[in-house]
Amino acid sequence: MDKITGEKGKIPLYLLGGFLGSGKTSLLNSILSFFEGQNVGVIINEFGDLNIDARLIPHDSGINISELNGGQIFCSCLSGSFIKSIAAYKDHNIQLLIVEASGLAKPAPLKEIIDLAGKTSDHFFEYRGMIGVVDAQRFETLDKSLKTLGEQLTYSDRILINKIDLVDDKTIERIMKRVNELNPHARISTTSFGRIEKSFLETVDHSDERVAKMDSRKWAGWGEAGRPKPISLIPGGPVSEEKLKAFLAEVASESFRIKGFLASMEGNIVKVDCTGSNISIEKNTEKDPSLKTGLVLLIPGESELPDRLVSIWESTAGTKVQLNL
Amino acid sequence: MTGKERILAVLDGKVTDRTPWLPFAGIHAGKLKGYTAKEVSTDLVKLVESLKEVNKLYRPDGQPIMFDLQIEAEILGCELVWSEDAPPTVSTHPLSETSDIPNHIPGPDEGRLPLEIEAMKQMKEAVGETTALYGLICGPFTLASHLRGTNIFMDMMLDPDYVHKLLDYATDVSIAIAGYFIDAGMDVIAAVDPLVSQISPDHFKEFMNAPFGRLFDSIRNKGAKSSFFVCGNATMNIGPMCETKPDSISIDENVSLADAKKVTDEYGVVIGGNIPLTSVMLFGNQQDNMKATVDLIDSLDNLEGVIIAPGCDMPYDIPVENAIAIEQAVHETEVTREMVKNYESGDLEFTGTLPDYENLKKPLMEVFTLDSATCAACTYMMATANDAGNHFGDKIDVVEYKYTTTENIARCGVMGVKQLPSIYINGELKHSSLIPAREVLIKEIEAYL
Repeated sequence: MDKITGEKGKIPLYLLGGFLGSGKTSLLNSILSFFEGQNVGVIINEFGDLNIDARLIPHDSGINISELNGGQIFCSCLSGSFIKSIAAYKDHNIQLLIVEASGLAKPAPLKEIIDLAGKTSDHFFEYRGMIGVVDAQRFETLDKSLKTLGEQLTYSDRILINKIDLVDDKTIERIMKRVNELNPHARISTTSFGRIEKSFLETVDHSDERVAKMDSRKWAGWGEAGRPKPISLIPGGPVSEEKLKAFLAEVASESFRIKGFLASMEGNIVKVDCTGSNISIEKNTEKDPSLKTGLVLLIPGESELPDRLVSIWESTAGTKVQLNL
Repeated sequence: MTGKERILAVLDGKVTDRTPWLPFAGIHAGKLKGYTAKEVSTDLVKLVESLKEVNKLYRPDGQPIMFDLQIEAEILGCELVWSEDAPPTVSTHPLSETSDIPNHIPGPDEGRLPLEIEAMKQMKEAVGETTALYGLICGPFTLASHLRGTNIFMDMMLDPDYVHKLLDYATDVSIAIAGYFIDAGMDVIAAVDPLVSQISPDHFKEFMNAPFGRLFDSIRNKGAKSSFFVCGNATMNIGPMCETKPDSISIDENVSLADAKKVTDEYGVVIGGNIPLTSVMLFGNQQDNMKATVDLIDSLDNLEGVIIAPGCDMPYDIPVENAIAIEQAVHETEVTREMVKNYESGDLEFTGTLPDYENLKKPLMEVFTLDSATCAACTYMMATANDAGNHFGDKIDVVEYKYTTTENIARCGVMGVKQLPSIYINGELKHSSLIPAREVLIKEIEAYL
């Protein structure tokens, strides 16, 4: 990480964005591991997310962490505190300054804040760019409800799609496509557990001219897929857990959510809860005589899955089933 | 018209004599009295003292009592982190691990509500005849997210029924709090909901339309006015927001006031906003603030149905003189436009002579004002100076320089006067923005005799 020292002794400053739980901590820990023995400043903006791995911070380490009490910055009324936190590092002898921005932080004001912070602190730092961390598991869902997700990616100079171990290849492909759509300029890579190579920071390449702007007017939230709709499946009789797994494996990736209770051939009631391709089948421990069995699938509004659902069920689970739209 | 009449007239769609000014001095109020953000958020006496000072110096047409979106959340189980110069923030979310919907509706005796309600009553008595008082509540979506955490964005897609139920509950809370504030005499209830700027119009219609509609209906039925305040870039949601029928909407600097006004004008909703908080109010000087305000006003097609306000809750450290400058610019736009034109003209030359401060026969008190006839703070500064002047009679000289002439603008430049109003004695800056006590000023002058 020697190559990243700033021009004329200016401290390199990176912004780190991404939704809560996307892996910013892991990424940060990876970066810090390459700076052992050196002085690094970190400004935390999001509660409950950043948990700097204490093992990576030896006693006399120069890792200086300041927590920004302003919490999630997406309102300009908190910018002053943000700027003050950055300026506070002016006379510290640090090699690197990383500022974590919450997943709800609007990038354009963020950039303005960085500029103002520079102006009010004699430009002691050099802004190197924004790193965006994407949670592969939740991205597609969050992208539909949270506008800032896409906006941050549009402003990012380097994008890391994290948690790829938790999703299938088709999902990764879709996410790469969507991220590329949002930001054709940034270098995108994939990883798990926030693991990166030593030269990672050098690959963050910012240019004021290249900053794309997300066309907010085009952002329609639900998107082309339309408002999600629930459909319910009521099996004619108990189903084997193995065959149920096979059914879920086929349809889960096309659904936002699958929930419900089913009678299994093994004599139990099982609780099904799938989020995207994350499948969960558990024995139901609650004894509730009024429990209704059946599955509810929440699928994209424009999905054609309902047309195929009965035949998929019959060929995998092997029983009759009733479909309610 | 009094400030209160002005605000109520604009909210009723009537013509006003001047554009109303609504400074969102939440924790910033404390700065005027040397109190920290935490002190004015928790101490009734300090809060009311600060609010009265805001009323005196900034001469607001409308004034909020507190700007703290965490009051409800705190009562409902969220832990707060306090700050010396910012409102507290929520750090824990009691509903993050459960899908149960609570049923606790805060009573007026819980948490910091007694403090807030009592402050409302005292301010009502002190300035309620002339200033429209705003009671701010945390909007239901932001309240729901305080309780649930940011998982709510996942919930919106994966468990929409749950979100509907949670929002219903949060709306019940908002309605109850609004009721207490109306009973305490608030003229306008503002629902502040920053998270609304994070979602799409589709999601707004799906989740927010009914709750906010219900909230504003309730406020209207109780005889008060309402405001829907969303900070962040809420451009796409302005129309949907108007459809929930608030009397007014407030936006921040991320939205173009002129563009938003085109939408709100169609709905007959008043628009408020949106002076930039950081680049102008916090880090700009008085001239920047006057210019930004004049430019903002000039960017609009017309001045009907508009209230000029900061983009959001004023940062604690905003220099007092900046807010003073904005008040001047809003209430005396023509005069201020001239001032801006003059100081920007670039060819200002001071053709007078500065006093020979080293060799004065008598102490000289120079009062630099925007205009003591119109700018509230300037009026008070001049009054205090004249009062001290009268005390000493012939023994001292007192002079006012108003920023309304090019000569005086040039004088300020030459003397390095950075804040108006300010008092200089024998060429030395003694006080700026904040009005000194009579005794303090008299003592200072005595030192020169």
